Amino acid sequence: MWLFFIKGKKMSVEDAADLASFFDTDEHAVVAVIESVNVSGVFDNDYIDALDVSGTVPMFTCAATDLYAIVPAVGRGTTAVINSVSYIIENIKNDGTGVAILILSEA
Amino acid sequence: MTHRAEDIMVAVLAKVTGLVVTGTNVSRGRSQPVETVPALTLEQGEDLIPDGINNLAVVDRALSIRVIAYVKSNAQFDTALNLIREEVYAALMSDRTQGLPNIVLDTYPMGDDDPELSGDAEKNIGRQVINFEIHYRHSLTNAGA
Repeated sequence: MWLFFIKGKKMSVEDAADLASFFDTDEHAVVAVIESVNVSGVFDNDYIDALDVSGTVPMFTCAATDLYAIVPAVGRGTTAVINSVSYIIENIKNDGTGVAILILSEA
Repeated sequence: MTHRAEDIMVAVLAKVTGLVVTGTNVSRGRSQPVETVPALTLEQGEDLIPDGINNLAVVDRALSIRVIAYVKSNAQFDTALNLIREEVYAALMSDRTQGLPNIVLDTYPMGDDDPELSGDAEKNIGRQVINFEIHYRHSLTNAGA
């Protein structure tokens, strides 16, 4: 979605303005409150069946620069409130193109 | 008349329904994922004749039963599973005939599988299989009598 692969190299095709449009709350993005700071991003909560139990996979995708500039101390264990639900950040996956995916669990 | 294995499954299902931790979240032979946890599912296993036919009147069988415990929690998952295992054990071993003294000869705990943990969902999911073997008797000519 975010990448071109040219001669085996991963290249970013988005600049900060592109990412800002991707994570525009007037489009598909929502606001996550992380350490009392608002961060815009796309929230997914897809269905999963793990060990024969129904569940969901909450994750929040946002611009890495926004995340670390606004919330420099963000990391594993930080609380994020999204759509009035409290989540714990379990992991942060930086994809190398300026996008960060927060892997969440319900608090 | 039903196969005596069916009588036993029904009796065991009743014994493990209403426990403190899992309550009425109990199902039998479930093929779809569990939605409400903590929960138990009950599965019928092999139904062997371990000693063969050496009596022209009756057949003695060993029915394997798997009680599967599920939890979803960010707390220590094996602690929650241990609570459930304790309750299930007491429920099935307090009356080893399972309320069917004319059918069931004895109930044997067969050990429990390793607890499993998944961190893929919104909370940690734990699962553990609790194994029992129920020895029972039926007529040589009719498995329901």
